[in-house]
Amino acid sequence: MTSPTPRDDAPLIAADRVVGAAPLPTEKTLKARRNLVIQAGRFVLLNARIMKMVLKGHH
Amino acid sequence: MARVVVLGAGVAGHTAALHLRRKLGRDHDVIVVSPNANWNWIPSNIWVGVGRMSAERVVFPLAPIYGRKGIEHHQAKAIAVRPEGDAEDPRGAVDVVYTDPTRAGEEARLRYDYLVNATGPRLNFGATEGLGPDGGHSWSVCTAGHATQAAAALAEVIEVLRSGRRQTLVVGMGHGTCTCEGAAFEYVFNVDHELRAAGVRELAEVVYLTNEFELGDFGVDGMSFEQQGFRTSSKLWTESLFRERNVRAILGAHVEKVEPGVVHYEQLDGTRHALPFDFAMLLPPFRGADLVAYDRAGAEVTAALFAPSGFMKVDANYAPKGYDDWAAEDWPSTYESPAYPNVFAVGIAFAPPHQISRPRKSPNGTVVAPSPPRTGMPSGVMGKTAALTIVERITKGPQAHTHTASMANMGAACVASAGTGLRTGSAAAMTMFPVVPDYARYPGSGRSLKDTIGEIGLAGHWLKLMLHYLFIYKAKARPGWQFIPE
Repeated sequence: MTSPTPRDDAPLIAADRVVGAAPLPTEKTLKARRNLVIQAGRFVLLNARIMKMVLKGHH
Repeated sequence: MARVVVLGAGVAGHTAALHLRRKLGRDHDVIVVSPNANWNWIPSNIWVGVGRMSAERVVFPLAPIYGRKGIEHHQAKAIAVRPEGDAEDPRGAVDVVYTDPTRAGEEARLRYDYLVNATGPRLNFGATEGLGPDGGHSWSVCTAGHATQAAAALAEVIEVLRSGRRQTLVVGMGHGTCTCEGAAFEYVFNVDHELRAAGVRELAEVVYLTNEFELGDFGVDGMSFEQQGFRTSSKLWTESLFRERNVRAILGAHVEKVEPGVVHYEQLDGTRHALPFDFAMLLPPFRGADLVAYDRAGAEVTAALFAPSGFMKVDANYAPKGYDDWAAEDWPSTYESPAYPNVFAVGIAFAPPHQISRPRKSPNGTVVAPSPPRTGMPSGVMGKTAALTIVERITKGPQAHTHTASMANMGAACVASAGTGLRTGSAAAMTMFPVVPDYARYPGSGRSLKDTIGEIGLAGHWLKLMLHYLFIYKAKARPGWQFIPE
């Protein structure tokens, strides 16, 4: 239940100004993020990067 | 015959215990002291916290695994360390109080030749008035039990939204010195995902309340990425995600008090604000386990072993210096106590020498400084490193090779994944190398631009799912577990 305390939106509005200037992904980018073939390739790449990091950090 | 006592059975302690048992012959004892009967894969608590996964899928009992592997398990809480032993025995010892229901409250003194302190964090809800699910007014996902409660509360809010009433959901950090911003970031996008799946997102205001100075800081001072021929920042990358998902933010905040339905906070400019909410999941700050240390005569020597935060001092450079004066080599690499070389602290239990993210203060003197993250991958690596050093010393003598793994030479992955289906989920995945920036080695950003990346898409979601099953398999010490990296 919402309390009767009045809302103080100044901090949210300040952050909205910053976030509102960030780039938005295009429809093409959003589709690529869900494309199974593209993402399968990215999955392999992500795993390879993590394995490389793991190997670099072990002594 | 040597006795190695491991305090804690989280990622660091459990990893240390399994490697010690694997490498040491059965004539040596490996003893784990843990107040919990179960192991918890904490990263997946996020999915429990939105009702996408049951608590049973992220926890399992430790006793059968330790029984099978020949590890002595005491379900107990460590309360004191006696690194010089006592009048009866010069060997180090740990005082414990049993939490095992069959021995609840019973005290014992366990002797050791080597000690690994992997006690993890004490969830310090008491640092903020009204914080937390136990007597407070906010939810948490720090334990599987907390996450289950949070999921039930979220389901109630979704029901209210379905009735057409607007609701405000706040997710974030419950204190100015919290760590694990990545977990709150992941939870807020899981909440967003659930609200969209329920068809009520347009009626909900979702707010991320954080102690970070800017989005994308994650307690590691942010990251630089190279993408499509440009160098960009985790700030811009994260802001883009917030804009796309319509998640609002409150930055540089120290939560002062949580009342029923209202969170009160101070911002870095010294102004104080109140935000009414219908649902709040706010993480607590962490403290060390607050162990007390005694010398052989029984005099308290806690300050020799522990920092005031309750975390154990190890081979780091704790000399007071300004944020701009610290260097990557100030970070520990062996996790050995400088006071007692047979004592190690790994995972969250070791005292970090300084913040990675720039600490800031409000004009009122309130510290707003994200603490350094040292969970997940780094915790496991530290646990293994300490275990291998102990094995070498037991089998080859005290001058044997000391293994090292500094967070200034160690990478980490943070995957914020929403949804649990193979085609319906999404994720923001980040990798960074090293965790602690090394500006001498990587001028500019302090990190390798080849190994520090941010990526959004299904691939990260699959990665998180894979890690869930892989690490639970490893923690259960199933065949070949040792080949799965930490």
